[in-house]
Parts: sequence; structure tokens; C-alpha cells
Amino acid sequence: MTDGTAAGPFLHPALFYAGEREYLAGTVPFVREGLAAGEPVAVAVPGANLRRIQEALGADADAVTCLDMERAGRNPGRIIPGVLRAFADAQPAGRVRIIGEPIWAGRTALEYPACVQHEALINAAFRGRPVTILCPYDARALDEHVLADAYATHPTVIDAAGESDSAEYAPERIVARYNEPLPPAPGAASFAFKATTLPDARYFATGRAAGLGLAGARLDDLALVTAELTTNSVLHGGGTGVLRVWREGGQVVCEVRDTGRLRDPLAGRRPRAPDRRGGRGLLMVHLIADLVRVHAGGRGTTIRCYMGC
Amino acid sequence: MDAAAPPTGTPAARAGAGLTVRPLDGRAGVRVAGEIGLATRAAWESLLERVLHEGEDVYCLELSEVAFADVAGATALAVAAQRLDARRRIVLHRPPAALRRTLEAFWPGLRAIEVTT
Repeated sequence: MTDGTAAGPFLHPALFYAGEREYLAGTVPFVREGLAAGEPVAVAVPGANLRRIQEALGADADAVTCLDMERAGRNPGRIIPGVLRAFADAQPAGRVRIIGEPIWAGRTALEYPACVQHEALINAAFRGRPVTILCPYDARALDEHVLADAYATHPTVIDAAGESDSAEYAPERIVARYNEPLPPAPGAASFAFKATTLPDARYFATGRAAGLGLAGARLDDLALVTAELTTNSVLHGGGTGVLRVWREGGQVVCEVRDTGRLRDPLAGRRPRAPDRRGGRGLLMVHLIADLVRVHAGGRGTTIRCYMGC
Repeated sequence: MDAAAPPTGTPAARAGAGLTVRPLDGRAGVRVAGEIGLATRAAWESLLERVLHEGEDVYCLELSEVAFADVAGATALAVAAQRLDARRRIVLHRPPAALRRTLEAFWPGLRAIEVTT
């Protein structure tokens, strides 16, 4: 592998594959080249694909950090801090290689905007770092618009014809385009909070969520999510906000709306050094929710967290 | 908390407005009651400063009457614990679920904090 200086130290190619043979041809040599060069390698892809890669690698798989992306990256907002940087930051100096497959055919329309924003934000999160993240896309199973977006979120693309620069590369445009308004859910229970009612807001959320079927540790997680979002509104989002809780399919949704402006698209996606204070509230939300959707508007911010029952 | 979490306006909810701290009998430490959040952040951080200056090898924070701790509260505790010298540690007795969750997420295996139930 080159040191990547021509293209910048961070390399982020998309791999368009059609079928298992192309998948393995695009991923397994990438892993082996990394291992041969002494580079730390991680593979974070959906479970079925992970097993294919592990089988093809044979004994070499033992030298690779393997993660099931359907679990570790269920919430796309968790992937940068909880998967990619968690691995890359733990390695000694030198290039790190990761296969990250955050978008698969089973991703829902609700998840997709968060998925594609995540892919776009990887570029800002790793700018200047000696890291290669290869992102496989199932060209047979994914929609045309998903594949078109991958040209905007990746500076280079690899397909059966080889590797080429993407003329469509424009990650900021993707972050903006999928910053979709989140209209209030009809019939959701709501609670207007301020600094002195933060505990009440939390009890409101857990009480409602328990009535909607959330239980046990997930209810504790919802308490934490609610506390962090409402406290952020009080401290950074204009001092007040509105909390809403409802059920959508098999999930309880907790939404906090305030009049603050969220200007940093990487907020909540940067790991913090253990001895540093602050900056972990939204990060914790991303780590524990099953899905986080954000609308950062000119007049306010809405953050919606989905918790599986 | 579990499904029995009290609804808005119950005494347990209102207890969140404050944090009470009482000394433990017969050992170095305090019993804390209430909740650790924005309203009590200053009180919690000043308690942790006192713990740092106590000089005891083992200091117990009895937290069974703490209903909740937010991420900033857990952070203050973890950052304080990292300032303890190697022979010292803080024992958390029955911390709220949120505190355990945050410590596990960001400071797994922090030597200076021990959790007991």
C-alpha cells in the first residue's frame, strides 16, 4: 500500500460489488495487503458478510478485529465514535485499515438519512489521518439513489472496471440535503421543560415509555437519553424545550425540540480522552440509542431517539 | 429505575431538586441522596473535591438513595477518580443504573473506582 500522500492521508473508497465473488475479491485482498504491511485491520460489516470474509481469510481472520455492523452500527451515529475511531484511536502510529459497511438492503427509509449523513461525515472525522476506510455497497440490492449518494460521500469508487475518482464527491451537500425536517408526531404526549423541571421531564419520559412497552435496562437508557437531550437544551439550546414520547412500530421514540442551533455536524461523534471533562452527553445518546435522527434548523434543533422495546 | 419509576410530581421526583450528604457510621464515606444532575452539579463536584482531599485509602459513596446521575455527574466522578494516587480508590455502593452505564461506556476498568451491590 502506498502512504496515500497523493490523495491525502485519509482514503475512503466505496466498493460497488455484485455478488459474493466480487465482494470477496474487493475485500479479502484489501485485508491481506494490510496484514502484510503490518497495518491493524478491522472489518465491520453485516453478520452474513462478516462470516464470508472470515471464512475466506481462514487463519488470517484471527489477526483482524471483526464486528457485526448490524449490531455495532445499528445506530449510524454510533459508528464514527463507537466503531471506527474506537478502533483507529487504539492503534499505534501508522496506517490503519477498516472495512465499514454501514448501508445494507435492510436499512429502512427512516434509517437511511442517518446512514448517508454518517458516510458523508466520515470524511470530516478522519481528514488528515493515515486511515483507509473501504465501504462496500451491494450494487444489486441497493436502490439507485443509494448508489448515486455513495458517489457523493466517497472521493473514490471501485467497481468491476477498477478504481476511479468520483466526479460527484460532495459530502457537505449530502449532510445538508438529508438534514430533513422532522414534523411533530400526531398524538404524541408532550412536556415543556426548563432548567427547574429537568427531573420531571425525565420521569415523564420513563413513565410514558413504560406505558408504551419499554422496560428494564432500555428504560434506564431512555432516562439517560432524555436527561442528556433536555440538559443540552437548557445549557445550549435556548434554555427550554419540548419533550415528546410516542411509539412507532416496535420502538419508543423520544424527541427533544428546542430553539438552539446545532452548527457542528460532528457533535456527539467525537470520542473524548478519559481525563477530559464535558462533551459526552450527545455521544452517550448516540452510543445507546438504536437510531438517532437530527434536524438542525435555522430556528431550532430537533433530536429524535428510537429505542427498541 | 425500572417500570415502577415514579411519575411526575411524586416525592421521589421532587427529591431531585437537591442532594443530601450525610457521613457514614464507622467508615470513611458518605451517604448521598437525591439525584445528580444539572441542579445539583455544583454540590456533587464539591463533594468529589472533598473526597480527593480526605486522604483515605478507601472512600465509600453510598448511592442507594440516588435516583439518577447524568453523564456530566459520572464524568466528574471518573475525572476525580483519575486524580487519586495509586493506593487510593472510591467504592460506589449501589449506584443508579445510569451511573454504571456511563462509567462502563467511557471508563471501563477504571482502577480507582469499585462498584459494590
